[in-house]
Amino acid sequence: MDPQFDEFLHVPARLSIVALLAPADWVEFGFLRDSVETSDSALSKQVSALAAAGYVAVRKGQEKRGRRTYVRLTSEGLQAFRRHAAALERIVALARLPSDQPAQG
Amino acid sequence: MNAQNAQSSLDDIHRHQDRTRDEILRRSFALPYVLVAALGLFAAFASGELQRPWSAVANGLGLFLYAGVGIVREHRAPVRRKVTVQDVVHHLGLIAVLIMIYGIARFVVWALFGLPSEGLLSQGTVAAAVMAVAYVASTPVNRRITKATIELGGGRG
Repeated sequence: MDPQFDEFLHVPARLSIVALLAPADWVEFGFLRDSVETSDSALSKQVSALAAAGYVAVRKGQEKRGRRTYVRLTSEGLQAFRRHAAALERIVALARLPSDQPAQG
Repeated sequence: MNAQNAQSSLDDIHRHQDRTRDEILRRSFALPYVLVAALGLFAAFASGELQRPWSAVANGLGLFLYAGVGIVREHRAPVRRKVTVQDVVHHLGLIAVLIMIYGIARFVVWALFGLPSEGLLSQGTVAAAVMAVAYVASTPVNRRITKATIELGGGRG
């Protein structure tokens, strides 16, 4: 297994959340829930796990139409995500090498 | 973890990243926001042809509309991104081009139709209308530029 492969991050729901957060600054909880196609409680559980790991930060905003929760990827989370995506790319690339060609590194 | 699972995970990552990028672009260039911003530009640039105090009122209202629609759009957006240097350069460039279009349109209107320099139907009013239309028409180009900025990783925290 690639040493940069992140078992914690590879849980599908967590990887989806982190991928959704990666191109943005702050993302609303409702957008994440609809994009991951999960329930509030299931998403909340995964966001809490990511926050406990230091991968995401959570902020609650008071708005006219009610309370909105925003989530963002921390720099640590972004680095972990990039490392994990690179590890996945290496796994795919290694499998594409011809069988008679030895893998480098 | 085999290669097939890794590829499937990578596909999911790309799909989710595209979803966020699409949402940013969809919100940024939603037609109602673009039209209100164009109206603001029209009011701000056509205001010079009105008499005081209406010129100051129309100018202030136009600038308020133009800036206000951007603030409201960002405030309501479920996906937010930071303003980058590329965004500022793009916006300043856009404003410069629009001012150039205004100047050219004003000259053309004067040369072709001989419209007066003051009044409701003046060179400035028609030129401001041309500029506002140009702003709306430039949306696909602006969208492509913003998309390229986002794909380069700009605007995240």
